[in-house]
Amino acid sequence: MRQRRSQPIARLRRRYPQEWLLIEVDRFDPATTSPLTGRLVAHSKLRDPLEQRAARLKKLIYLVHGSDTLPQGYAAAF
Amino acid sequence: MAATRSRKGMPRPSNAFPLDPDKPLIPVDVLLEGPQGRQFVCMALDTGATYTIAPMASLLAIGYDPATSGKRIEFIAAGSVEYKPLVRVQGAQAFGIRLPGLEVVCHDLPPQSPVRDLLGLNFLKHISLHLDFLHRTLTVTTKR
Repeated sequence: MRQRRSQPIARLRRRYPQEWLLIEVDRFDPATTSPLTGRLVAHSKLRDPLEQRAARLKKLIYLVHGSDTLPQGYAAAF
Repeated sequence: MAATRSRKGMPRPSNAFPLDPDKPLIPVDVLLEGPQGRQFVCMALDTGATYTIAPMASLLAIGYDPATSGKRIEFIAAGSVEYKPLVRVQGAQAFGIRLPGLEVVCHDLPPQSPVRDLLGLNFLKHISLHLDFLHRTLTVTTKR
Protein backbone atom coordinates (compact mmCIF):
# COMPACT_ATOMS: atom_id res chain seq x y z
CA MET A 1 0.00 0.00 0.00
CA ARG A 2 1.34 3.41 -0.96
CA GLN A 3 2.35 5.60 1.97
CA ARG A 4 0.63 8.97 1.70
CA ARG A 5 2.94 11.92 2.08
CA SER A 6 2.83 14.35 4.94
CA GLN A 7 1.22 17.67 4.05
CA PRO A 8 0.17 20.84 5.85
CA ILE A 9 -3.26 20.24 7.36
CA ALA A 10 -4.46 23.66 6.21
CA ARG A 11 -3.72 22.61 2.62
CA LEU A 12 -5.62 19.34 3.03
CA ARG A 13 -8.64 21.19 4.40
CA ARG A 14 -8.58 23.66 1.52
CA ARG A 15 -8.48 20.79 -0.96
CA TYR A 16 -11.61 19.13 0.49
CA PRO A 17 -13.75 22.02 1.79
CA GLN A 18 -17.01 20.02 1.71
CA GLU A 19 -15.74 16.79 3.25
CA TRP A 20 -14.63 15.24 6.52
CA LEU A 21 -10.93 14.36 6.64
CA LEU A 22 -9.28 11.63 8.71
CA ILE A 23 -5.67 12.71 9.20
CA GLU A 24 -2.77 11.02 10.93
CA VAL A 25 -0.94 13.94 12.55
CA ASP A 26 2.85 13.82 12.47
CA ARG A 27 3.63 17.32 13.71
CA PHE A 28 1.80 19.74 15.97
CA ASP A 29 2.65 22.93 17.83
CA PRO A 30 2.47 22.25 21.58
CA ALA A 31 2.54 26.01 22.29
CA THR A 32 -0.86 26.43 20.60
CA THR A 33 -2.13 22.80 20.48
CA SER A 34 -2.47 23.16 16.71
CA PRO A 35 -1.98 20.17 14.41
CA LEU A 36 0.35 21.30 11.63
CA THR A 37 1.10 18.47 9.24
CA GLY A 38 -0.18 14.98 8.65
CA ARG A 39 -1.04 12.17 6.28
CA LEU A 40 -4.54 11.96 4.85
CA VAL A 41 -5.93 8.53 5.76
CA ALA A 42 -9.41 8.97 4.25
CA HIS A 43 -11.93 11.61 3.26
CA SER A 44 -15.70 11.45 2.90
CA LYS A 45 -18.81 13.58 2.77
CA LEU A 46 -20.16 11.37 5.57
CA ARG A 47 -18.71 11.65 9.07
CA ASP A 48 -19.93 8.33 10.49
CA PRO A 49 -17.67 5.95 8.50
CA LEU A 50 -14.64 8.04 9.41
CA GLU A 51 -15.74 8.14 13.08
CA GLN A 52 -15.81 4.34 13.13
CA ARG A 53 -12.37 4.21 11.56
CA ALA A 54 -11.03 6.85 13.95
CA ALA A 55 -12.23 4.82 16.93
CA ARG A 56 -10.00 1.91 15.83
CA LEU A 57 -6.86 3.88 15.06
CA LYS A 58 -4.31 4.21 17.82
CA LYS A 59 -2.14 6.87 16.16
CA LEU A 60 -2.46 10.60 16.72
CA ILE A 61 -5.62 11.21 14.71
CA TYR A 62 -7.44 14.37 13.72
CA LEU A 63 -10.94 14.00 12.27
CA VAL A 64 -11.88 17.42 10.98
CA HIS A 65 -14.20 19.00 8.44
CA GLY A 66 -12.62 20.84 5.53
CA SER A 67 -14.50 24.01 6.39
CA ASP A 68 -15.45 25.81 9.61
CA THR A 69 -18.71 27.03 8.13
CA LEU A 70 -22.18 25.57 8.59
CA PRO A 71 -24.08 24.19 5.60
CA GLN A 72 -26.25 26.68 3.73
CA GLY A 73 -29.40 27.44 5.70
CA TYR A 74 -28.09 26.20 9.07
CA ALA A 75 -27.34 28.11 12.27
CA ALA A 76 -25.93 26.67 15.51
CA ALA A 77 -27.17 27.00 19.11
CA PHE A 78 -25.30 24.56 21.31
CA MET B 1 0.74 41.21 21.00
CA ALA B 2 2.05 42.63 24.28
CA ALA B 3 1.86 40.39 27.31
CA THR B 4 -0.26 41.58 30.21
CA ARG B 5 1.24 42.06 33.68
CA SER B 6 0.43 40.10 36.81
CA ARG B 7 0.07 41.76 40.22
CA LYS B 8 3.73 41.04 40.96
CA GLY B 9 4.76 42.82 37.78
CA MET B 10 5.82 39.68 35.98
CA PRO B 11 4.48 39.16 32.49
CA ARG B 12 1.90 36.40 32.36
CA PRO B 13 2.18 33.76 29.66
CA SER B 14 -0.24 34.74 26.92
CA ASN B 15 -1.02 33.55 23.46
CA ALA B 16 -2.91 35.36 20.72
CA PHE B 17 -4.97 33.47 18.14
CA PRO B 18 -6.77 34.69 15.04
CA LEU B 19 -10.49 35.22 15.57
CA ASP B 20 -12.73 35.39 12.52
CA PRO B 21 -16.03 37.15 13.31
CA ASP B 22 -17.44 35.99 10.00
CA LYS B 23 -17.32 32.33 11.03
CA PRO B 24 -20.53 30.93 12.56
CA LEU B 25 -18.61 29.58 15.57
CA ILE B 26 -15.16 29.71 17.19
CA PRO B 27 -13.26 26.51 16.36
CA VAL B 28 -10.58 25.31 18.78
CA ASP B 29 -8.27 22.33 18.39
CA VAL B 30 -8.35 20.18 21.52
CA LEU B 31 -6.02 17.26 22.25
CA LEU B 32 -7.67 14.59 24.40
CA GLU B 33 -5.37 12.16 26.23
CA GLY B 34 -6.20 8.69 27.51
CA PRO B 35 -4.50 5.48 28.62
CA GLN B 36 -4.32 4.18 25.03
CA GLY B 37 -3.46 7.31 23.08
CA ARG B 38 -4.37 10.84 22.12
CA GLN B 39 -6.70 12.36 19.53
CA PHE B 40 -7.24 15.85 18.23
CA VAL B 41 -10.85 17.01 18.22
CA CYS B 42 -11.98 20.25 16.63
CA MET B 43 -14.44 21.81 19.10
CA ALA B 44 -16.42 25.03 19.29
CA LEU B 45 -15.58 27.37 22.13
CA ASP B 46 -18.82 27.41 24.13
CA THR B 47 -19.24 29.51 27.27
CA GLY B 48 -22.81 28.18 27.43
CA ALA B 49 -21.64 24.60 28.01
CA THR B 50 -21.03 23.58 31.64
CA TYR B 51 -18.79 20.72 30.60
CA THR B 52 -16.49 20.00 27.70
CA ILE B 53 -18.25 17.55 25.39
CA ALA B 54 -16.26 14.82 23.63
CA PRO B 55 -17.20 12.40 20.83
CA MET B 56 -17.77 8.71 21.58
CA ALA B 57 -15.33 7.58 18.84
CA SER B 58 -12.48 9.69 20.23
CA LEU B 59 -13.04 8.47 23.79
CA LEU B 60 -13.07 4.85 22.59
CA ALA B 61 -9.86 5.41 20.60
CA ILE B 62 -7.93 6.82 23.56
CA GLY B 63 -8.97 4.01 25.87
CA TYR B 64 -12.32 4.81 27.49
CA ASP B 65 -15.65 3.04 27.12
CA PRO B 66 -18.31 5.61 27.98
CA ALA B 67 -20.98 2.89 27.90
CA THR B 68 -19.44 1.34 31.01
CA SER B 69 -18.64 4.62 32.71
CA GLY B 70 -20.15 4.52 36.17
CA LYS B 71 -20.83 8.24 36.27
CA ARG B 72 -23.68 9.84 34.35
CA ILE B 73 -25.12 13.28 34.24
CA GLU B 74 -28.41 14.88 33.25
CA PHE B 75 -27.42 16.89 30.22
CA ILE B 76 -29.61 19.83 29.24
CA ALA B 77 -29.16 20.40 25.51
CA ALA B 78 -31.01 22.86 23.32
CA GLY B 79 -34.51 21.38 23.29
CA SER B 80 -33.97 18.22 25.33
CA VAL B 81 -32.70 16.68 28.56
CA GLU B 82 -30.57 13.56 28.14
CA TYR B 83 -28.70 11.21 30.44
CA LYS B 84 -25.05 11.10 29.32
CA PRO B 85 -21.85 9.36 30.47
CA LEU B 86 -19.26 11.50 32.22
CA VAL B 87 -15.63 10.42 31.68
CA ARG B 88 -12.53 11.77 33.38
CA VAL B 89 -9.77 11.85 30.73
CA GLN B 90 -6.09 11.82 31.61
CA GLY B 91 -5.67 15.26 30.15
CA ALA B 92 -7.04 17.81 27.72
CA GLN B 93 -4.98 20.44 25.91
CA ALA B 94 -6.14 23.57 24.11
CA PHE B 95 -4.47 26.93 23.42
CA GLY B 96 -1.20 25.31 24.53
CA ILE B 97 -2.59 24.68 28.01
CA ARG B 98 -2.94 21.20 29.49
CA LEU B 99 -5.46 20.37 32.17
CA PRO B 100 -5.02 16.95 33.81
CA GLY B 101 -8.06 14.91 34.82
CA LEU B 102 -10.71 16.90 32.96
CA GLU B 103 -14.24 15.49 33.10
CA VAL B 104 -15.96 15.38 29.72
CA VAL B 105 -19.52 14.49 28.76
CA CYS B 106 -19.74 11.88 26.00
CA HIS B 107 -22.05 13.20 23.32
CA ASP B 108 -21.83 13.50 19.53
CA LEU B 109 -22.98 16.64 17.76
CA PRO B 110 -25.02 16.09 14.58
CA PRO B 111 -22.91 15.52 11.45
CA GLN B 112 -24.11 18.82 9.96
CA SER B 113 -21.94 20.58 12.53
CA PRO B 114 -18.46 21.47 11.21
CA VAL B 115 -17.03 20.91 14.70
CA ARG B 116 -17.25 17.57 16.46
CA ASP B 117 -17.89 18.87 19.97
CA LEU B 118 -17.67 21.70 22.50
CA LEU B 119 -14.96 23.19 24.71
CA GLY B 120 -16.94 24.16 27.78
CA LEU B 121 -16.63 26.10 31.01
CA ASN B 122 -14.92 23.36 33.01
CA PHE B 123 -11.87 24.00 30.78
CA LEU B 124 -12.34 27.71 30.11
CA LYS B 125 -12.63 28.66 33.80
CA HIS B 126 -8.92 27.85 34.22
CA ILE B 127 -7.77 30.54 31.78
CA SER B 128 -8.28 34.21 31.09
CA LEU B 129 -9.94 34.50 27.72
CA HIS B 130 -10.31 37.75 25.81
CA LEU B 131 -12.43 37.73 22.66
CA ASP B 132 -11.68 40.88 20.69
CA PHE B 133 -13.88 40.62 17.62
CA LEU B 134 -13.08 44.15 16.47
CA HIS B 135 -9.36 43.35 16.28
CA ARG B 136 -9.97 39.73 15.24
CA THR B 137 -7.89 38.37 18.10
CA LEU B 138 -8.51 35.79 20.80
CA THR B 139 -6.03 36.13 23.65
CA VAL B 140 -5.43 33.46 26.27
CA THR B 141 -3.61 34.27 29.47
CA THR B 142 -2.83 31.84 32.27
CA LYS B 143 -1.83 32.17 35.89
CA ARG B 144 1.91 32.01 36.39
